[in-house]
Amino acid sequence: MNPAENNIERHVKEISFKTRDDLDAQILSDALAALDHSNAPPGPDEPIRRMNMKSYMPLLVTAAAVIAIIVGIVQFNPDPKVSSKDPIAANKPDIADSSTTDSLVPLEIEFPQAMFVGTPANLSSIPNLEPIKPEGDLRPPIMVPKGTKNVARNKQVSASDEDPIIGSMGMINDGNKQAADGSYIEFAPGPQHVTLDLGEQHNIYAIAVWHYHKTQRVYFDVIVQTADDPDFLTHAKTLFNNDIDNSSGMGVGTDKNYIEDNKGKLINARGTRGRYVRLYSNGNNLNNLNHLIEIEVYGQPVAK
Amino acid sequence: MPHDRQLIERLHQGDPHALRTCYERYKDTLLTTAACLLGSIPAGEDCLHDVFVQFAADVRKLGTAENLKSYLTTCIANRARDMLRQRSRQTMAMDKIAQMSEPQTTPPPQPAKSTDSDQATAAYRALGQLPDLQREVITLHLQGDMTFKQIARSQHASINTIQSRYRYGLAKLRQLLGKGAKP
Repeated sequence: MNPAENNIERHVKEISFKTRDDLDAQILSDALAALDHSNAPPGPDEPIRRMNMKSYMPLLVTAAAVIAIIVGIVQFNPDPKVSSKDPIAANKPDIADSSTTDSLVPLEIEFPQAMFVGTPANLSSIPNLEPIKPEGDLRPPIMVPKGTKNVARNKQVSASDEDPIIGSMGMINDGNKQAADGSYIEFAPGPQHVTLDLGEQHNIYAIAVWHYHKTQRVYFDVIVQTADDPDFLTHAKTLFNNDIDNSSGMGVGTDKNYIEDNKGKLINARGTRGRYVRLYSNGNNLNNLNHLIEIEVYGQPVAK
Repeated sequence: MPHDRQLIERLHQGDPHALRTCYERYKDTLLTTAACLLGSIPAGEDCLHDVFVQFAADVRKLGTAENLKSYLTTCIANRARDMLRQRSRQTMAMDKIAQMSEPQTTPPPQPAKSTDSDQATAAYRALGQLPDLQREVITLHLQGDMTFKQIARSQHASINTIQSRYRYGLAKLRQLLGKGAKP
């Protein structure tokens, strides 16, 4: 090997990057949650697996009855103003003490009242649809630094359709997530987008979106982006994209279509830095109109 | 400081401190490897995130004889390969749309802001211009400290092939860096 090659090897070895603190926190929090989750299910050798069917059948019947009663009570909520909370968000994962992860807490989101119950609509013909989760299935919490809050409330909103068919721009971030009439905004058919200006640079940890959850619907070509400028030219980052055929021309997405419900769509932004948040959609499975009830952006201003 | 073997034993028991130690020990090396393979620091960060979370989820399957650094570096290489394939598919789709528009050149990799020396920065840029397989061999060998044998196993190729890729890659780097040195 000649000296020039030795030099090149040395230069390649000298390349070095350091991880960012917020990235460290996010990776550790997600990894610890994954480790915790992998510890949770009982192993094949645990006693319950050795019990025969007859011996724990009464136990299963009792548990099913209790679950049915609880689900019935939760769904029969006579006061529409009372919001429910995601139970898993209240169960903080066991994050061990450390300077890096001490300040992380599960993100808690206030959910509006669930509006539809009963027989689900037949959505099986919709392509790329994420598996329908059983009733009561809980999504894992997103861990965020302490002090993270919704920074989108009442911030400036603009849209590709400046004259919505129903509602006004301010409804998108007014805190009202109910699916009742008067709570949502309806945009023109076809591809449309709305842009939130957070006013300054933020570290964004999660974005929650409610399109319309009064009936079971799937909105198409949902794309969520962040950027430093309103034209989305500087540090534009796509956080979610389920446009699998690139019909919106924003690139082929790999995320799944999903059914709207009262819990909204929660997108992990992993501490992405940005000032502007943009959300695209392109009609839904019932018509080609675009609706939005609320967008929440959970983050913290970047320290100056 | 615990050895890899002790760390793995503790990881098998689900010890979060061991996971944190493991991350702190290898995070910068893994990020550098991922950024070199993908030609972009943000993409490297995504790769590191995906790999480490998956590592934590599957840590019980890890053999006790594993060399953690090599294991994680191989995971990074595998994930980076997937991301490059995905990027290639997306580019092909976009190319179909943009066929009638002006030809676009591939943007050069981002400057290596954390890298200290100019030569290292130049080497990082030049790495981005190598064919994927040559870049992978050079990065895994020099950044990931993997042997040619380990790389051959991970790429399902013979050691001779890997050594050839390494030599061709270095020759190409020398050529690229030589061009850059001219006034």
